[in-house]
Amino acid sequence: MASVKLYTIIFVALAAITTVQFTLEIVLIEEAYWLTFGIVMGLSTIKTLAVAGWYMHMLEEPRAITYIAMAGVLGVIALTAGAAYSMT
Amino acid sequence: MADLPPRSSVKRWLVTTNHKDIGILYLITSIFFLVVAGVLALLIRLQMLESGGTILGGAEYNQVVTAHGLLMVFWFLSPFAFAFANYLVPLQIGAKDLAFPRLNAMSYWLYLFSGLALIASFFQGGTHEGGWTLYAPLNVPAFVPRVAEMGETTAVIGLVLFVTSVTLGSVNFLTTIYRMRAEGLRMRDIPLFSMSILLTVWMMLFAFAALLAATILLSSDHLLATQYFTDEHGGSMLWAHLFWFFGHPEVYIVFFPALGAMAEIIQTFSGRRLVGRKWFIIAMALVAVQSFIVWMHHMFLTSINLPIKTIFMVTTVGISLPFDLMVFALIYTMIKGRIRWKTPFLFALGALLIFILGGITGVFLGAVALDYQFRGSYWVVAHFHYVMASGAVALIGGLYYWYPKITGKMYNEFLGKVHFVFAFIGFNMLYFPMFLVWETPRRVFEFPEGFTLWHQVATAGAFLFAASFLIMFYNLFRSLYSDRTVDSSPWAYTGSAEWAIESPPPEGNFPGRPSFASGKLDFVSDPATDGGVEDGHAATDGGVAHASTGHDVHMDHASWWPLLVSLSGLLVAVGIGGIPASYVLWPFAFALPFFVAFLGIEGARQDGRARIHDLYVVLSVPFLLALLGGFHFHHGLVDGFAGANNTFYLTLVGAVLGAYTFAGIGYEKFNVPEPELTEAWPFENVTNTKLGMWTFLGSDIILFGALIGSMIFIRFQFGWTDWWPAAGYTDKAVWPGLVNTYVLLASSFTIVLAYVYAKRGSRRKTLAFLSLTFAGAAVFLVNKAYEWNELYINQGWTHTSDIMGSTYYLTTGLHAAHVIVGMLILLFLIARAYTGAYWSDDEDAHTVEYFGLYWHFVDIVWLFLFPLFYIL
Ligand code: HEM
Ligand SMILES: [Cu+2]
Repeated sequence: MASVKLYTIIFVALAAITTVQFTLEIVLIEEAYWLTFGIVMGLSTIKTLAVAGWYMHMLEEPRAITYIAMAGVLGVIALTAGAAYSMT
Repeated sequence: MADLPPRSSVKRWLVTTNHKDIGILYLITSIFFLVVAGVLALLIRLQMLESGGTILGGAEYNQVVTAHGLLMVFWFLSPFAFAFANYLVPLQIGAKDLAFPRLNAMSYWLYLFSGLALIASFFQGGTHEGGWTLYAPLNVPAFVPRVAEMGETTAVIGLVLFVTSVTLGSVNFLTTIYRMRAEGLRMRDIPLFSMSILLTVWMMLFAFAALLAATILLSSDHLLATQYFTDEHGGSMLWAHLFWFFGHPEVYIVFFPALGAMAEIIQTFSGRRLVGRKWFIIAMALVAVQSFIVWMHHMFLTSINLPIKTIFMVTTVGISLPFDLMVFALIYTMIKGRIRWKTPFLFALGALLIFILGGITGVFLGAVALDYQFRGSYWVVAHFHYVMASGAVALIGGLYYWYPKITGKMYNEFLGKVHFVFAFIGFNMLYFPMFLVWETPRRVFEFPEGFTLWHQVATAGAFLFAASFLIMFYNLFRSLYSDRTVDSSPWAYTGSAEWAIESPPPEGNFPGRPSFASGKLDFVSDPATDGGVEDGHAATDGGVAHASTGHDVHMDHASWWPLLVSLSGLLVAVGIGGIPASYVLWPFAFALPFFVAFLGIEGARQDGRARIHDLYVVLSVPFLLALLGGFHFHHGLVDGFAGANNTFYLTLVGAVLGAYTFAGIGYEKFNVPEPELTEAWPFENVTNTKLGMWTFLGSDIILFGALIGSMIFIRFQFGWTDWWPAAGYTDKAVWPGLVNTYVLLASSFTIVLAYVYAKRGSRRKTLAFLSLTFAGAAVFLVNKAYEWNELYINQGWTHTSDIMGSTYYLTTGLHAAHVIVGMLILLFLIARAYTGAYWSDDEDAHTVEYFGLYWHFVDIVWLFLFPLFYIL
């Protein structure tokens, strides 16, 4: 289990990333929607990895735990991408 | 927690959590649903005696067809398989029970009651009419006959209950099979039936989560008048995608256990280990994965584009290849072995033959061009009855095979063979003609004159098939009282562990601790050492062997809660369909203060009265008053309650009972010791509860992913960037989302700290951080209420205004519901922490950790809702 200090640093980082996402909504989205889209979703993914990796201490668990979560994520991607693409 | 009453007492069956008892309950219940659905099938066949029908009107016929399909697929076939899974998997892997016995009982009761809800829907104006696939838009209120709206909704909610049961069951079996194998039993060596169940529950875990998403959206369309499946931008396609993403894995979910049973039976009666066992297992695993990428072969006649049809044609061909391998492995095993023609073997062989025909005709359907012809015809009906009924026939073989193990008595072999002959002839008489007159349109009782004879043959076959089961019922029932007792194994060449113990197996399953450490099965008498002493006659009470927690540990647990929790679900299910949309959420809101009060009362009873318990009871009163105030604002206090209908009160009773039972089950002392010395690869260093939590989260990823994916799917077709400008609000601010993101992240942080300090043994800090987490959640909700008030009331943008409103309020609303559930659990944790449960480094402290996993997950979901519903 990581230290309180590390948990605190992670929290601050998560809050900071959130602020960046919010700022992008103000300064960038009008000019470059898809760029903003990419960055914002990417940042959300990074936040997710941080929460899962440290707060849920996935990093310390057997790797197979990660595979379970990955299977779920892959399923969602297959469903959403397949369905959306099928209608083009 | 009390000891179990004897099997002769009715109470035993209501309170049992023992896997063998629950297996028997599943067996009897699934056969009950088989009979109900079978009678419906005979009605269908009578109707088809001549074109234009004989006994039923159009609406009745539609209901009969739909309920027949739903009952057979969901309430008979899978649960029938899980009767054996419950009974046998722990025996085969050398465990005393499943990992979570109480959850297992809950799965059973939810299963039973969900089926009763479906049957009840017939009597609420009529059940669904659109077939078991519930295609949109025939599944939404606008296209449902007015009188049948309540029954429709009940059927859908029944399905939601059923999915809940399945999800709990999957979590349970996964944890059990991974973590409770006897010493020395490697994963790859578990018997084939258990292996097939393992792969089945993997598919279940993910596939049923998609069905849950679909049925939640559908319930919402019914109860709250959202517009998912009526939306012109692909609402009906959305249903098709969600349903078939679930539906294709589902066909393997129903078939795999049968395949496992077939493999075991063929091994035993050929006296030979399965040829290519390893490849057989690999092929099964491949199919399990591939089953998630073939779903659009059910949609070849919809508006999906040609490239994707081609891709899914290829994946469909791909998935039939591993099946060929499995079929050949089974055939080869028989050729290599010396066959003994007993009843179970006959059924397994019959099932294999039937399956081959069903599989081949399926490949026809998988070809796009051919499916243009076959779609919606009796070819499809014949195909899937060949494959599905093959599964049923194989499991009937399993019933004969394991009947002596379960009852300790041998069935009558002659009658068994007679059953087989009639069943096999009846079955083929029933379904083969359907290939000949395949141009008959599906789900319709009108067909060209010339087909009449073949349809009459089919009807005759149906009655023969049905009658053959009467022979089985007679045989199995009479044999119970015969003197043909059996000892451990009536069959030669059995390999798996269930045959090494008495029939029926004693309460504690094994005479000592099962171990495969020496390469074969031994029963070790001393639980602490592994000297490998063989001891066939040790005491079998399975008592206090591994009392790791220091409590007095019994193996046989009795609990009323699983039944009561599920009963509350039934009351809600049959009531909620009749409530007008503006009343729907109130029963659940009113249940909340009751939950708080019950927590106080149960807590005082179990942990000794403490100030926190008094506080909960006292606080529940103003909480209730506040809700009554809200209700007054909404409906008027007197008028509102006077105007509410009976179904409202029925649902209210169900919801309050639910509140009571959840408090009760939380506080019940129910220790399931984790046995030591088990094989737990690849999850050695996690506890059962943690693995259970993670598998549950795995399915929740699909659930929320599918909900978010539904929004993405519709928005994609709407025109991604046209979405928000078309929504009916005047101004939707970003900052409420931003603030709530900070708040939820902070609450994730505090719950981590609560766990840290629980482990360090600091009561004050544990309590403080748990309370802070609760406070964070409360701030989140208050902020959300403020935001919704602004949009919903002030700007008049509601969940029925447009599709953006539907997706916005429902997705974030379901997330908020997760937050509320988390808060309820937090109240429980806070009370327990207050009375001293979590501040030490023992197992209890981990409760905070497991809750944290859930809470972080809720946080993560929000991390995606924030950008998708606020920023982009
Ligand atoms: C050998 C591999 C299989 C292939 C290639 C295959 C292919 C197909 C295809 C393409 C359809 C869609 C037909 C249409 O609606 O036009 C279909 C329908 C169906 N299949 Fe299969 N199938 C296979 C095995 C199975 C198995 C093992 C089961 C169940 C145990 C099964 C159960 C069903 C069911 C229930 C339907 C009808 C769904 C509905 O109500 O529309 N299939 N199959
Ligand atoms: Cu399919």
